[in-house]
Amino acid sequence: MNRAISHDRAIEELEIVALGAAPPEISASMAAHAADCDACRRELDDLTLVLTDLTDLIPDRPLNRGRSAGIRSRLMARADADADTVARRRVAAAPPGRTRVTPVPSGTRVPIGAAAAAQPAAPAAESRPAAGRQAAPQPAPRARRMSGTTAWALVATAGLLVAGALLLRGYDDREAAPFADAPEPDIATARADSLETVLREREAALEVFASRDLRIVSLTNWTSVGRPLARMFWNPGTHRWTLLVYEIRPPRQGRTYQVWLVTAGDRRVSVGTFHPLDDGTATMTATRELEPGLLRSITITEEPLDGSPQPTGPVLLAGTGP
Amino acid sequence: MVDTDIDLSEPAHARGAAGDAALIRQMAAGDESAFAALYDRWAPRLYAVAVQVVKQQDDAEDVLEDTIWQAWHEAGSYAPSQGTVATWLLGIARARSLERLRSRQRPKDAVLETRYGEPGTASGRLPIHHVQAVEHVKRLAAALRELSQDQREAFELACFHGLSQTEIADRTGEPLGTVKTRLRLAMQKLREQLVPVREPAETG
Repeated sequence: MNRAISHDRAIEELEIVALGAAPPEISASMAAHAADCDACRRELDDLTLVLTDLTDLIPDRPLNRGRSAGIRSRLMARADADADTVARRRVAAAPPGRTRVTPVPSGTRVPIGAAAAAQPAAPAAESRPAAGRQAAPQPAPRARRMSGTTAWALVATAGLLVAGALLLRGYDDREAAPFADAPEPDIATARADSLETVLREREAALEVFASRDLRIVSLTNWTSVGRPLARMFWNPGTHRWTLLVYEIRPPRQGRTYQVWLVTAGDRRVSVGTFHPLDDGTATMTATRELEPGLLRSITITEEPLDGSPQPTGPVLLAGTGP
Repeated sequence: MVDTDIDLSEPAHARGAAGDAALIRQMAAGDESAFAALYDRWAPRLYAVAVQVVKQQDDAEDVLEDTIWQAWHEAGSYAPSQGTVATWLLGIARARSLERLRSRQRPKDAVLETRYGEPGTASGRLPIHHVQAVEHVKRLAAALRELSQDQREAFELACFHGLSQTEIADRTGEPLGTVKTRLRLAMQKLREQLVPVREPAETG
């Protein structure tokens, strides 16, 4: 409990408190006093302004670009996941369907090749170790629209990966009902048991890339283990989603990976589950209708083998939507 | 032929006080692009303040992240009548830095060196023309030179290195009362010198 401070004593301690050099109990007593004393509050404000000005003498320190990008990425993800953010947007009544593009720090260069592997990202704030950070990450690129030319150029590269993964049948593709028709997640299991099914799915996966409005979301590592990377390709016109995953470790026994769309209103909608191949790659396709402006982020979590109605396990990969 | 690298950057412009206030308003409405823009604009400055106090890169990065996150959470309670966004952010950064510093042990004999930027390398956050920014920094440095050596030493230890009055007394071997007097006189002199300097920087 704070001991009350007299006004005369408060005047004597103003400069020391403003500097942050006073004992904690004095600072706390001063804060309580200033809440009721306009004169002391004004004095403290003025002294704080003086100190702020003097920080201009401290030369700017450039941040390591990779580490800065990691901090920035974590902050964006935290804001996205914060329930308070949702409440604020409701209050502000932002118009639906608005697409925002966040500027990437100056000089950022982002590889767009489907097979390009990003450097490991710094671990998430919640799970990062107190010391011994990972190597500097590449900044997580924001979702962006592809020109038709670039989209077609990706077809050859990504299509080979998709076709190969499908034919190897090393994954589970659980197609859920379209979002618009299923307010609650509806997880259904579908296996590619016939060649016809495999070919149909391969064609559908390739079709994702044949769009001038292709959206790409890069997912970066949220753990301190390995260097997994993923990219989600989304064709809003056909509601097709194709996920390519690289260098992901196998899930624990009896577990699988599940992909979630985090939407406006802070809802988590499952897109399906997958199990990686021995080489750490995985591919998943799904159909899910979603208004382009409503996607906030995409996450991949580890869940029970049959999936989960809502995320229960740790986040391995996450990326921010458009 | 597809480029394997694409530069997706946009330059982070120096918006000035009005631009900062607009960013805070947008953040209060949940606008994450404004949040990102605030980070782009303020990270180097806030990091510099944190490093000055906590001295360690990892801790300074944590302070930077905590500062920006606190700004996000408290954007709705920021009021221009309290001061500029710069004052608000730097105040948070300083408080977080001191918190971090006091949460860990620092050797009593640690070397604490205060380095100031040269006038030509004035803070990039100043919302005024470069020449004016240089003049501003020169006036700040001149104000510090008006302090006696003892006052300046005590002030720098508190302001730029986060020492408490008791720690300053221990370090300098001076009585606590003497340290308090030096700190008070230093702040009062700086306030007299800098009030006319502060007013032009608040426009914008």
